Amino acid sequence: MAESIVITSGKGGVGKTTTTANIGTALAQLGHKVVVIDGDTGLRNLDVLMGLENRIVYTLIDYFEGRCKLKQALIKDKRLPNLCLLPTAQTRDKNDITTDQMVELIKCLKEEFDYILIDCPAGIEQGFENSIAGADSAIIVVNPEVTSVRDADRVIGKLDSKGIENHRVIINRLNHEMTENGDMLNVDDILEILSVKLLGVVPDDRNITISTNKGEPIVTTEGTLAGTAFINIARRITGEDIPLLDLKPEEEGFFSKLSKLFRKK
Amino acid sequence: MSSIDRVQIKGNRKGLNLLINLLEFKSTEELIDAVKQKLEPLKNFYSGNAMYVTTYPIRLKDEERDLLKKVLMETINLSSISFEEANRKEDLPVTFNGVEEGSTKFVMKSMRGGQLVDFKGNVVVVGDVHIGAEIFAEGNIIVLGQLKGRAFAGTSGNENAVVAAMKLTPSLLSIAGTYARPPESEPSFPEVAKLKNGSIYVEPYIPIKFEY
Repeated sequence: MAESIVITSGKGGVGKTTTTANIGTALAQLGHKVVVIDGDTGLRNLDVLMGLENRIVYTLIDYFEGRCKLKQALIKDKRLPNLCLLPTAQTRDKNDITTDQMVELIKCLKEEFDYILIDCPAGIEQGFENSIAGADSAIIVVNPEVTSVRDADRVIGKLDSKGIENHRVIINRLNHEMTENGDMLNVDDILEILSVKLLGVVPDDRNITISTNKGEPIVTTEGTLAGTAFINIARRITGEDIPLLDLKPEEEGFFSKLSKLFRKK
Repeated sequence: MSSIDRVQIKGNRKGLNLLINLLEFKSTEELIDAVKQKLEPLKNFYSGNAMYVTTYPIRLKDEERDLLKKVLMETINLSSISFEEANRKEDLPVTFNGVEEGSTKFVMKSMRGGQLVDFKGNVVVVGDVHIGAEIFAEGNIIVLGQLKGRAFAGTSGNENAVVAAMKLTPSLLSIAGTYARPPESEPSFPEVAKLKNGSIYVEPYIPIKFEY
């Protein structure tokens, strides 16, 4: 049974697109047929993150306006054959798509794919309405900041009123050290404010910036903490029961402690 | 506000009643114009009836009454016109008085930021009221959870309305137009906010001692 999931947040810049690209790639690595849809018409980024920018010929809007077939608009990922990107137009805006078109599109895609991930734009206007129109469930990306949590709360209310009752939250960019010191909202604080299910916690990781600029989702690089977190999230989506990642930095070895001790003296 | 709301026509046992809210008019001329505009399209319908005029919150001056009477007679062929004393309770927009027993809206889940409930009666929320949510109730507001949003009770002027919550930490609280700011510290027990002598008092909610 195919599932369509919208990735949203309300606030901009919290990592919706990064999350979409990584979960999509991770699900494909697990062997599922996945399509990621860019819902951010006019400000598309998903193609850049996936390194598929140069391959775009037709877009979502070309399909809606009858200039191409759906197959032509879908771009196959260069690493994984069972992963596709459906890009949107850069030269149009969000009002050029209607919710009915999106519902119809997702219905078609469900016949072909196991997972349909929709990258929602920031805000709660037409772009948001379009992105959530065909979604079965929602993933809300939230940063450990009060502003992001407020916006997430608003968005969850909107999703509820649209009948999307299945929503889970990903806490992105958590800095373990800062939460330990009480300088940042911790996981429990956020879950208490939002009262929603937790899907995963992604630590703040400099490797994300590197992978974004390279156009290679971080899940393709082995051994990064953020990459592992995204892979775990993907496995939870498929129904596996995976415990939360331990975000504590690795304990220092005996010798490094010892040498530090001597250095101080 | 449009002229339709400041001048109203109601029918009851005593005949036609013309209700005029004087607060909405700056001058007598404006009032006369509004009355004319309201009645002109209906003159055939109402002709031959008796009409009485009620103005609120105050009564009209004698010369204003005469002028209004003349205009009404010219506009519509009424059988008689009389003036009522102002401030008659049943004619005025009434204050909701069902805080002890009256219509109540139940919200069966948490209210999230941006959601709004506006109800002409009491409101009960079974869940939390998150920050950014707003409740307007003409009667009481009861929250079976934490109240963090904005709560306006007794919006039509009932000073006996209360706001109660398991955790009363609203970002703004109002009872019958009197406002209170949020508490400095978080309470660890349920509380009730009431209006007494023009100020809002917050008391712990202890079921046995609670006097309404």
